[in-house]
Amino acid sequence: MKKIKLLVLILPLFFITGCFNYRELNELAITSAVGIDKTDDGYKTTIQIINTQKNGADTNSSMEQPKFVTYTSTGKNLQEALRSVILESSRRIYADHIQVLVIGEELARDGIYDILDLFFRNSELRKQFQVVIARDATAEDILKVVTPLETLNSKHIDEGLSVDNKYLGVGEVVDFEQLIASYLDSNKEIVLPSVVLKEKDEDGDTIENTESTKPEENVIESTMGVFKDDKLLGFLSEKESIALSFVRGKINNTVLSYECDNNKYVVSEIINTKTDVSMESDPLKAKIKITGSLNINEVTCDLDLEDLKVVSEIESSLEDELKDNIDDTINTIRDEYNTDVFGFRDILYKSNPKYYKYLKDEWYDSVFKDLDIEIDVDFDFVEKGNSLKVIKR
Amino acid sequence: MKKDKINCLQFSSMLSMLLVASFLGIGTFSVIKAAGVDAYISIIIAAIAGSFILLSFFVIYDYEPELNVAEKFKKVFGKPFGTILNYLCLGLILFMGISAMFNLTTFITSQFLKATPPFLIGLGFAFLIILVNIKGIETLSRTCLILFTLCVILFLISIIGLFPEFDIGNLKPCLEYGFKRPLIGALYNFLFNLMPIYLLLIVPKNNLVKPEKYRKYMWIFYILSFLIKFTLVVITLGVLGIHLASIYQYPEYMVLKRIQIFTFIDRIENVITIQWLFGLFFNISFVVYYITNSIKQNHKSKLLPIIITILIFLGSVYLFKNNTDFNNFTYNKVPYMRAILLFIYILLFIGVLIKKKFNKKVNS
Repeated sequence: MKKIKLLVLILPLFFITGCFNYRELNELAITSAVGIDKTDDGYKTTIQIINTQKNGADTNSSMEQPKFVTYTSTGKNLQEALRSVILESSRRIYADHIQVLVIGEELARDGIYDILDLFFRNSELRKQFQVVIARDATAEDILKVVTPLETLNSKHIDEGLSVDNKYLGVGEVVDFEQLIASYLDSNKEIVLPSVVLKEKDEDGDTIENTESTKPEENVIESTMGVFKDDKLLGFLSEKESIALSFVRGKINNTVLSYECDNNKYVVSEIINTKTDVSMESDPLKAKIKITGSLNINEVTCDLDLEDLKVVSEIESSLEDELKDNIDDTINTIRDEYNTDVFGFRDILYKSNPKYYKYLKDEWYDSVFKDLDIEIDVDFDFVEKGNSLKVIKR
Repeated sequence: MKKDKINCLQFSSMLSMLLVASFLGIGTFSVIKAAGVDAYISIIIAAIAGSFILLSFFVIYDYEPELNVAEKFKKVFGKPFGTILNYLCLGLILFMGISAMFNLTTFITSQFLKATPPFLIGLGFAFLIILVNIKGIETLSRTCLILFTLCVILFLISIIGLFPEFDIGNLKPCLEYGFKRPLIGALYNFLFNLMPIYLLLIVPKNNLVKPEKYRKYMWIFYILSFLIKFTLVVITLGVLGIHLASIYQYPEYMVLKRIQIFTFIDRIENVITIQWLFGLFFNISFVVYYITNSIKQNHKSKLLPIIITILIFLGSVYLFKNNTDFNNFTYNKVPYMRAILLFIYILLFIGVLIKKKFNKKVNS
């Protein structure tokens, strides 16, 4: 009887631990990035797979191999295109470790709705991978590049985005789940960071690309792309991207400067930023309040930094500079793209849903274009580094 | 068979385990679908309404302490009508057990073991359910207390990990459509709360050690289970937002994928999910125990739990075609079944009150 009980306890282990359909590690094509481009009759997918081969071992060559390989395939729908990779690859795709999804610009401009469902529905896939747009290039071109410093191209893009967001704020980190949340919410619009090729080179997809101190081809983080519904409308400039990040409250640290004299600047680092956006109903007004601390990093004008008045003027000038940047950005986006990527509509809906109901249908026709916006920037000067004064003779 | 004695702590922990386990998957899906972003308000309303069920539970439980609920039906309503009511409840409870088994196997198949046939997963759990039922209520309750402690620890870890991802803006706007939707959600949740409380009536009061303390423990664990459910819904909505939470099949599982503690502890959702597997396993085990003891109080037969477990297992394999069928049935039809159970429960409560008054008059 005891043996039967023991058997009853041990038997389920074979059914519920995954042994039924296990896959060995060397049978898996561990995918680190996926790229999607549009073709005339469907999609072209580029899969970036981690190369787990040891250099020289089990191969005919003793030369160093790239740490990843890319496979490209086409299909009339995305699942077909992705599954066709098997025809070229000796292993089945294992997508649990995807770090980046690169969407070609042409596809983004046509609309990204059709490619969202596959990635969202797949339960094997974690939804926390970054999404970027390949600007002025195809996703295939982006993913083929062997990048310096990082062995994996996808890690270069992923880490690059995080670092950029942390220290500059040109690109916002948007993961796939956030993208879906923005798309599903009719009161929000999508923004995505973009990447560009530094220069297209025939050796960009080989190890030779990293053998010089200055790689010919590289993937560079670029500015934010703004969407309306699911279609890409255009890209912002660097200044506009930073301003947008400020309004959306996605800035950690950044660099801000103003011209104090002819081609001379005061440059400061803005840290500990906090953005508070509120909507007033009657009359309709958006109030943006930005606070933060600033450290003076560089001064090329002849200023007396020991004078409190001068420091106060620097504070005001930087505040005005940011205010103007934000104001210009809002007006540019309103005039050129007419898309509420700032989230004013969503904030109004959440704070006053009854009032929002009356404006909902006319938001883009009239309300957003004529929305009164009040910007208040308040920085506190914290420190000026090692030097008390400006360097001068 | 010697009388199985359990202490009040074990007894009350079973209440919590049943309340939380029956809420996972089906319950969250129903309440978010009904109430939207105000789902957490539904939980509060349902908990307040559910406390009346708990109060009536005390009245029924204290009546004829040596009898379980099946015997009480016969005592209050007479043998023929009492038997009919008992078997009607049995059928409903059996169906709830089948739903729980389907929920368990489908969850495991869809999220972890995609290529494993669901019936093999169900079979594995079925063996364990049979084993724990053969051992009796003492083993069942002791297992529950240990598992519940583990569940609470895992739950606290998940809260700590998800707190940085929480955005209060995702809970707005509050009561956009008034109280109508939260009340519908509360009704769903209230009906979900009924079955666990009712199930515990199968354990006669005389089986409790120091039964005078049981009310205090029941209240503590009831409030604890409310806090767990409330926190679960708030965190799920606060992290995912209503749009994602309402589109995911298992939003409370998907939200666990966001856990990151100290930047290096992540991808632990499958470990945290063990608490649900424990809960659902215990839920089904207790359903089998209930049905077995309803048919034969203090049974000695080992065959009865085997038959009932097999019934539940086969029901879970063949009753529902797929997940869509299950979800539609759960959302549209199951509330009516639970309403029938509520009606019977209220009938029993009124019957017990009348009997008590009648006995008082006779004694005086």
